[in-house]
Amino acid sequence: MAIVGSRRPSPYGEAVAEQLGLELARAGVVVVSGLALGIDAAAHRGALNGGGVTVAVMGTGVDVIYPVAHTVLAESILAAGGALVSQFPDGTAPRRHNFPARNFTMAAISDVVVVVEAAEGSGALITAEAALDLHKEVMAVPGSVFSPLSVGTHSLLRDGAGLVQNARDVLALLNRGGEVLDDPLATPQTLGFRLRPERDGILSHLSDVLALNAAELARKLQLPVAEVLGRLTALELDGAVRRHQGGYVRALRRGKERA
Amino acid sequence: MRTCRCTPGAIDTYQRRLSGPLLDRIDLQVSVCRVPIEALASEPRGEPSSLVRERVIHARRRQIERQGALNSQLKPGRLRQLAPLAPGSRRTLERWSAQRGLTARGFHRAWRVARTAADLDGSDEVLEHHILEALGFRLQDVAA
Repeated sequence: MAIVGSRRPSPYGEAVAEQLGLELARAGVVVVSGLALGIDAAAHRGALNGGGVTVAVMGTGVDVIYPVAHTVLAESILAAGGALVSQFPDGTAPRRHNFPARNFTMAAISDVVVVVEAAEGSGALITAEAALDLHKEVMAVPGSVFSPLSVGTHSLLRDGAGLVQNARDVLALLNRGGEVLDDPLATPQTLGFRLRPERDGILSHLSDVLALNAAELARKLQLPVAEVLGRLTALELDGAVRRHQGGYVRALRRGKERA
Repeated sequence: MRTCRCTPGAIDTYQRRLSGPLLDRIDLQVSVCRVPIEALASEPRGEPSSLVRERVIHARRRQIERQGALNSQLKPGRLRQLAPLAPGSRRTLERWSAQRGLTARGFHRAWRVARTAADLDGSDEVLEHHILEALGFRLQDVAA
């Protein structure tokens, strides 16, 4: 099963991809993705954390790890009994026109393609299209209606892609048991995190998708910027918020502790 | 907001052109967002610059009177002496340093900024929220 999506996801998308990767791997499904930044990496990581096998379909030669920052990830995939596969000869450098072909291969070796956050015209949508051409199943995770990263996934859903709210939705389609229930993914955001209302009240004003900077938040709350900045930093130290695109978002993952 | 159209790789390469030691010396980074034109007329006016100016002059005078120099000129030893931290504040600064891999230089720079935040506040003591404010301005510290 392939999990694909944006290379610059929101924290929400990253958390979903990781959680899906983890739960599917636990159910014994091989998680396929493209070793790219963002959703791909989160899916691989999730599968590894779930003790599963994951396959990276590369747009470069198997000996050229791209992006370089994923060298350790690639090693972990191999160490866990997974595979790095490529249709390109050894030594092939990253080339823009090779990636659509790679996306096609990803669809070809998977039974289902799940898209998590894809803006209009993104590579993940090419994978979805390829999957349809190959008569494979396409599923998508819904996102925020405020986010441009939902445009691609929501248009897939409108066109009849299966709705994914949790791993069971995918497993049901694969006939791997489990009836489809409408309960949400276990939200990791409160795990191990002690809320202190007087300090953490501002949390409820933050989104897990769209970044808000300290000044905007201060204006919304009618509080001095210095105070809001200090409170945000305290929350950041505790791992409850994260910086994202110049602003702050609620953290959905507790980083290493949840792994 | 207008979204950048560069690839993640290009953004990464661009940001890497600013070296760590250079970024380490930037104490205040503020992210601003594009304000829609139609919002300009209806925005609350905020604090007038003349008032902010008063506060800055006052804070600088405090520094000169206290130590004969501005906070930015304080050596670490003098800083320890003139801006002692309560155990809680020190722990906060140390936690951040450990999490973000702050350099010794970054550590003292944040401390100095906290001293200034306290001066702007009219506070003799550097309190925990001054430390937090100073750290909040360090956008460049990457989470480990």
